[in-house]
Amino acid sequence: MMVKTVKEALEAGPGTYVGGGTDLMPLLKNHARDDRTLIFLHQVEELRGIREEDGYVYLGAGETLYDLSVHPLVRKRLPAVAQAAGVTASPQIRNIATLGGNIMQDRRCVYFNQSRFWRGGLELCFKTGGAICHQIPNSPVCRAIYYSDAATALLVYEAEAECVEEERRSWVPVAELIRRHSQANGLACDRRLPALVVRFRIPVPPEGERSGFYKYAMRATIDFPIINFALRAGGGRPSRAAAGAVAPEPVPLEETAAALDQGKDRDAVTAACQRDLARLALPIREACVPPAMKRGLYSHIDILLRSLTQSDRG
Amino acid sequence: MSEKSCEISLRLNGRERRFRVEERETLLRVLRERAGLTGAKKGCDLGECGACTVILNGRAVNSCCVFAVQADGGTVETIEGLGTPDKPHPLQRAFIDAGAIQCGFCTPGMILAAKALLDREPHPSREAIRRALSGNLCRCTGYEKIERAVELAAEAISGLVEKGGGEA
Amino acid sequence: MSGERSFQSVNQPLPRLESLEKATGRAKYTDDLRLPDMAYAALVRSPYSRARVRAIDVSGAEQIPGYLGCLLPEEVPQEYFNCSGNPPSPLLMKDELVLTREPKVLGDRIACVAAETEEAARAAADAVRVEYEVLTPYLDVSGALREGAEPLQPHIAPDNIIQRREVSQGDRAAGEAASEIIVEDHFSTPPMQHATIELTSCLCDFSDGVHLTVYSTSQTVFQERRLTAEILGIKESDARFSKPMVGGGFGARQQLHAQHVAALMSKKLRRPVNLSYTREEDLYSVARHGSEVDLRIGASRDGRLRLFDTTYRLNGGPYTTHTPTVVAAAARKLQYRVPNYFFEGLSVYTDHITGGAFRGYGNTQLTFGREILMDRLAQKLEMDPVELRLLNQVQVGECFPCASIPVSSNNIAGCARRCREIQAEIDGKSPLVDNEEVRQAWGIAFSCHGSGPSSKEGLSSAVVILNDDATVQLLVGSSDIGQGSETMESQIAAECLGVPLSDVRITAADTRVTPYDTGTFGSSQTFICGNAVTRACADLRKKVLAQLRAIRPDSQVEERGRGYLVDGEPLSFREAAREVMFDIRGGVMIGSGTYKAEACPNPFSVCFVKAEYHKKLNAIRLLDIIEVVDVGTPINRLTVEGQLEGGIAQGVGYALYERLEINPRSRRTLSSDLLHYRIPQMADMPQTHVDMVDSYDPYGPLGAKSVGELATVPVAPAIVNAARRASGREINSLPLCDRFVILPSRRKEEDG
Repeated sequence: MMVKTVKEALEAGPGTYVGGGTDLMPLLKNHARDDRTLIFLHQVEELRGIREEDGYVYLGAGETLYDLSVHPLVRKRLPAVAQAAGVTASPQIRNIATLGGNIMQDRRCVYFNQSRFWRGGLELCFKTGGAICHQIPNSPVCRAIYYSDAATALLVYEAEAECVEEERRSWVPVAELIRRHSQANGLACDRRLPALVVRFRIPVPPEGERSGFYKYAMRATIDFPIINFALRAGGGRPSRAAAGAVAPEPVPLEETAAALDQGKDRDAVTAACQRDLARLALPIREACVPPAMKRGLYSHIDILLRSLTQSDRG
Repeated sequence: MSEKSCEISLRLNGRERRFRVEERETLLRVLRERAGLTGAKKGCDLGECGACTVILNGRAVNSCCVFAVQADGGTVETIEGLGTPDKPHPLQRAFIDAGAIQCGFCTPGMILAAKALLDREPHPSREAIRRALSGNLCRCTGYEKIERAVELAAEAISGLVEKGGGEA
Repeated sequence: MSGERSFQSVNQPLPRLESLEKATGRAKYTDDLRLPDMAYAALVRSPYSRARVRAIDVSGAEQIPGYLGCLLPEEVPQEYFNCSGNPPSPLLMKDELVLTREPKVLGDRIACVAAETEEAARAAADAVRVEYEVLTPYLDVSGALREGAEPLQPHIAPDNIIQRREVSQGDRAAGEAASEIIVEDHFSTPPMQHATIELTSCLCDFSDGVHLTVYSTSQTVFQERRLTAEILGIKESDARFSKPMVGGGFGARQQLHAQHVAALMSKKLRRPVNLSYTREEDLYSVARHGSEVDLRIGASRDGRLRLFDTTYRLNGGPYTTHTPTVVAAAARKLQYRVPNYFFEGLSVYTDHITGGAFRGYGNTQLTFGREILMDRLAQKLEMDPVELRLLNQVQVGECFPCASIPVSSNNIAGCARRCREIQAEIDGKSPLVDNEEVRQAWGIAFSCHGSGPSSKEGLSSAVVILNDDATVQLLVGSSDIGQGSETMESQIAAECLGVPLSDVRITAADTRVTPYDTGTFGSSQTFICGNAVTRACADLRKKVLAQLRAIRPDSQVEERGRGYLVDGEPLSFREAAREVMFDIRGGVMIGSGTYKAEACPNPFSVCFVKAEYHKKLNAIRLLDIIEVVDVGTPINRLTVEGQLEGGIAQGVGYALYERLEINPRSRRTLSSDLLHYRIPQMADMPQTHVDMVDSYDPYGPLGAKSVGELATVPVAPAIVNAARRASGREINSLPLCDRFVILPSRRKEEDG
């Protein structure tokens, strides 16, 4: 049902909140999810808005990825978010998909994102209400990967999300929101995290900080990332780096950040990133991407490092 | 399936239209099955090929992945509303002249993605064209002539605008 | 040479006749058609690559609102057929059923359901419960050929070899002895899917059980009519196959898909039935054959080839369809002079996706290994790779190894020259980079193809009817599937009759009104159908002249330019047309022509690729692709360019990332949608440069040869040759994404 305010949305529940619907629609068509109640949020004004206030940049959860990617404030203050939003999915999808929906997107797996016909005859997996992970049969949990580009960017900026959960409104770190969402999202869809994300806020980065985002996908558009990186450095505070599309949630690259802070050269930072990811990544079978190829991409943070140094020079 | 249905209104190709739709029905289905506008094509039904591209509130979207209810109160442009055989839109003209049309199945989506681009950015670079149209798959042309057609159309439209006759 | 000939309507760049309809969204494709009372059907398919059906329970489907009915395997004809849209041939073994209880491939048809809407039909298909005994499938050639492997089609092949084809000349030992250098390797290419953007679809009306009307995505309406009439037991005259607009074919529609079962459902329901595939169904419906090829090429020090020895195995999937004819077509497409030539081709049954026709038809897979080995040979001989190929190229008057028709035109040297000019321009602007991080290199490949089926089974006919205002109705049986053949046939007719193109109105590929054509395959339309059109036009002109003479028995009437001279006075074609119809001694002028392939002229192509290798990232990026062809007279230059650019794009996909992948654990395809089966997008394409050289083939209509399939054949090996020279690594399989990171071709952020 269509709602116009957060209050109406809460009263309409329990149900599935729909932002742009682009992640949900294929899942419904494939009967991979069987959400009973859909609550359409596109008319809720409170979810809109991009502004700077009280030392924070606020991003409405209902803002589209396209708008975020071109907004001058986002491009200036949070380049990694603008860049991530600008390379997610395809132009058509970015035009309607929302930031909130992108963060709350379903984790993906070649055994799950398939038609009902395709899955027919296979045992139910964790994500479809069963008790097995087809990817890693001895895994006690679902190993589907979380592919959001924007999430990786939000993480390095230490973003928080304003969520309404069980009628309580609160600010929670995006890392924590994603962790809880991701855990619930490894189970059948009626176990989803019942949170309505209203907006995000990010402390305004200090002057002199450099930050950016890089996504590797086999093709220029539409594809989910095979890996993505975001990092920020400088500005008088410790650096942060993160990688996405390698595990059920984005992973923080701590050794990489430390190497950056120690002023190491590009090769040494890249090597640190490879060590971080060798430890943290949990690759699974993806179409046309052998795990060895994915491991080869751990060094591609080099491309991001180079573009940041170049923009520095420029 | 006990689907909820509701009524939506669209400004569809310049005309106010009302449709009774099911809550989970796609905009593509409404266009093809209820409005009889088959110019929007179904090439994958999962938002991956762009053949169903229409312009919703000024932006190109995959109509197969938009709930019809999301378009309620909005403006929808389809290929049928763009130009007529006697008076094709400059983009339609350019696609024809540049040889950008082979099997033609991706053409309506390509043209609409291009229109959304030119409405926003009348003089796009080749890279901007490629970026804006890369959500539309074509298996026949190798895209070279499509890229060229969009450039030609941009020139034609700005020529029209300069002459003051710009209704495009 | 065509440069010296003057043409009015051909050798021009002209937009397609139907492009306005397509650009305005008015063009109707199969799934856009609506008939009154139309029902929708969906197939119940096997999710297993090999199984036996124990039971089918449709009670779940009956609960779906709008459910109309079901067809089970025992309700449909039980005779084996071969769905290939080729004319009858002993190579086309019959081993397929309309519906089966023994699925041999993912997606095999088990049953069919129908409902009031497409959504309800899909829901009903999903609700049919089928109990299977699941068997272990043979997904690759080696598994199916293993000793003791169970035969997939015992009535055809106890050893899973559908056919073994040996073609040879010379002596192997002599070839080895004469070869101072031998290069050899094993090459693998993956199954590739056509991924036409239009989904497979048919609309069948067989409500009365006697008269059948089919609108469908079709390349071969006459073969499909013949096969369907046989399956349904009706007369061909009672079956109409009509082709609306078709959104691409590339071989995928050179066969029956589900028209038979939709027709049977229509008969059962007494309503017209639409049966359209989902993208997932399309992706596993048919594939370019995966190949396993052993290849040896021997040469003497001077670079002359002495030996070509290959064992060529195609993964056919569980049904014969095209496989033996694909192998046969590959057997005689070696454009180099080799005295000792040995081709052993094996068509192998497996449980992988059924192999069918795909642009290139066997040529693609053999050219792949061949052109890579030629590149390695050139390096060993320290010869220029272009010169090595030109040295061995078969010239006009000579035959390809084991082929019987001599080459009738050949300007491949001109193609290579033109490629080098373009290459020099590109390198002039951005010279080859070779530094610590990046190394750029060029790779090249040559290729050839035929014009029409290489078996010379191409047959076509045309009828041209003169109207009293000197416009004409042209009827041809061949299908325009997006490649532009209707425009080209019309251009040929306009040229032959000397009328403006706008005066030709074509009707094509409707078995009720158009005369027979073998079908749109084998790059036939320009050459085979085009020759039929030239003959029909010549016949018409002959008849008009005869009629004019009959009308004016006392005058001197002769043809002059586009019109006539009557006792020295000019009479235009327009005036003549009026006269021959309305004169008291007049009549209706109908020209007809038939062409049975007498030749199969080879078009030629040279492809250059510039690529770079990023050493630290182990990444390949394509920069430029040049393809220049000798296609005889290009009938429509815009269309030829489009075929080249599109062929390049398919070659790019084949080389970089396309593969129909079956996952061993699920035994299902991972390539179930267009996210997981990746075809190139606009922003993935490198810069392409295409051109055609002057050439004229004596057998071609107005000198024309084919282009469609040729265009894509050299692309993947040229890419691999660039990648191997840039990376220094030998490559013998596709796709390259298995071994290299693929960088999008024109991405800015990695520049520098």
